[in-house]
Amino acid sequence: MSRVQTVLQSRNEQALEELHWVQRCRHGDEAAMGALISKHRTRLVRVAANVLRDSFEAEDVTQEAFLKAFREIHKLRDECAFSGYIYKICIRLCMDRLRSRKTDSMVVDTPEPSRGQQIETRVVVEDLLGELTPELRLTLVLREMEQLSYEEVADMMRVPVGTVRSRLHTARERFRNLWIAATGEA
Amino acid sequence: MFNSCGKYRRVKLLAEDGRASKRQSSFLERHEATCDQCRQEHALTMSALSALRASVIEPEPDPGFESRFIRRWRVESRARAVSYWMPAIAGAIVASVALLAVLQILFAAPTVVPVDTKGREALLPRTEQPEIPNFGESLTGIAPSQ
Repeated sequence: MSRVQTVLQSRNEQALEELHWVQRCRHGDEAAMGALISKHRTRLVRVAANVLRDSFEAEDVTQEAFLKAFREIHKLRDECAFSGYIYKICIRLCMDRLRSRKTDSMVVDTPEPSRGQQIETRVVVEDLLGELTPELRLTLVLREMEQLSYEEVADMMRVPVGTVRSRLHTARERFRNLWIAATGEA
Repeated sequence: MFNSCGKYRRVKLLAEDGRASKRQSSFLERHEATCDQCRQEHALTMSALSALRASVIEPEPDPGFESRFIRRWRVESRARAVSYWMPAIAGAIVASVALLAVLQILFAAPTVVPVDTKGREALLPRTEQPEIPNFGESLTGIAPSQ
């Protein structure tokens, strides 16, 4: 019981600390910005890298997300909701990049050919994800790779939960068919 | 069997969403045990999804991320400040140019060559000036007519 209380207390402290940083960011405090960046950037870079499949572009998108978030921080009504706010901005920027990529050639983060099977699988998965529409791809990545709940995915993508369910079903089915075609499994 | 496969697919959707009841889950298990096609389909889905989950990218944290961001933030803030004040600066420049022009006109007025108020006659050579008869002398001594 005391352990639970300690965890809750530490969470509250973290939330209070973040609230304090957000308030300072509103006044353009760069130290507070740095603190928020170091707290959230790993998660953001990770999700962007998994959606875009390109680590360099993921970093760029994350920086853009922070720029946009701090520029428009006055729009953030609930100061405790910075985490969700920055995450949503990042997801939307990733979505924009995916849509703009549709016309360009596909960019794939080419891994070093040293880890054999795992690398091969990764390259195949990257190619297959490139075959999906941006909406299906994002839904699949957020649910299967980022392990977000349906409600969280819906909130991030600004669509109803029902839409997430149907998109996810379609994405899984398409991905499975593409996987069969690519690997010859049947 | 077809009906059973159709039901399997419907229940499978619920199971994927984590909404299947215990009874429905056991139906799925029982159906997979008897239907080769559905079992294979399920295995392929699992294999594709596990490949997807296994290819999660875990990027290395870049130590220069924050400093790069702060530099970018400063450049952007400066650019934003300039673009915010640009209309005011442009307006101020236009106003000061106009003000200077007005001041120039007002204070430069005395240096302009004065206009001769005597008219064209004053400009004529002295010799050409018509002689104006002086009646003052000739009229002295003449009594006004009654």
